[in-house]
Amino acid sequence: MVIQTTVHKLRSRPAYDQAKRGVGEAAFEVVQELIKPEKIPFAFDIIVPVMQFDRDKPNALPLVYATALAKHFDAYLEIGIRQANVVSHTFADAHTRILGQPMFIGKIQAGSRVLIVDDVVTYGSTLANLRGWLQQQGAIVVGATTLAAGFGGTKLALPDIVRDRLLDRVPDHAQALAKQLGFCADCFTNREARFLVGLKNEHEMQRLIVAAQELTPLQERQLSLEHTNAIDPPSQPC
Amino acid sequence: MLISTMSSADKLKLPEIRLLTPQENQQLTDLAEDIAQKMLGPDWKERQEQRRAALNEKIAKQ
Repeated sequence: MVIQTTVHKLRSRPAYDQAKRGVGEAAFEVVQELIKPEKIPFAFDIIVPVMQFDRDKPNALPLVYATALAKHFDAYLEIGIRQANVVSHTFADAHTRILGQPMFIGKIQAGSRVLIVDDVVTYGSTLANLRGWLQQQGAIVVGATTLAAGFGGTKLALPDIVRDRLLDRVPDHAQALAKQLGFCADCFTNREARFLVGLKNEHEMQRLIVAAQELTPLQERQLSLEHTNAIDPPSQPC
Repeated sequence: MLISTMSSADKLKLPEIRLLTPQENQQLTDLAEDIAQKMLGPDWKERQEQRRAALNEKIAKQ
């Protein structure tokens, strides 16, 4: 995981808001000032940006960052992989981030070595779910890079100690929530699991499970109503 | 089962989640192609195809 700068420095760039609202020139201005491509140590064949809508606008930052890296490393830029749902994680609280797991569509070449690119990592669910989607198809995700990281966002993998604490404290609830979200309790990211461990009591966990139970049929209904055959079936998160 | 045992006042507010529409999907394509054209040059698609062909060949040999 390679991070180029701090969230504060990123968000204080004058063009940041425009870049998040899909203005390519603004994103170029932000990215050009902040990145050092030589910080990336991975050998890869393909760069996959997180292509997503944030509320009602496409986020131009991951695209411009990925394109700058593709130019620097003379790598293939994959622009066919998309986030299939619109979750709006920017400034979202922890509940929204955990419940609103991103899903992805689009194909990647099996056997290719992939670098994932996003603008900010906070809870890590976007990067973890995209990694899962690519690896399901046989790609090898060699690393990820973002312009900036929120506190505790740089270590995505769930450490054994945090997993054990979660499963000791609320084993059934952790499994039930993960199942409802479409994966297993081992697949929570480090920061997601830490948030869950820090919940006051089992009732708080139960509220999350109930919300996830209510969201699942809504998402399934949306899929059956709106998902056209123009795009492939979306991924499971993990 | 849990849903029926929790009062609506106690439930979390559900986050707004929706699917990407075909129009938004197209907007993402247009934005990506516009950025690539400006940053990688007008022949970026041809060079992408060349890279893909080389990658296919490399992976096939492995």
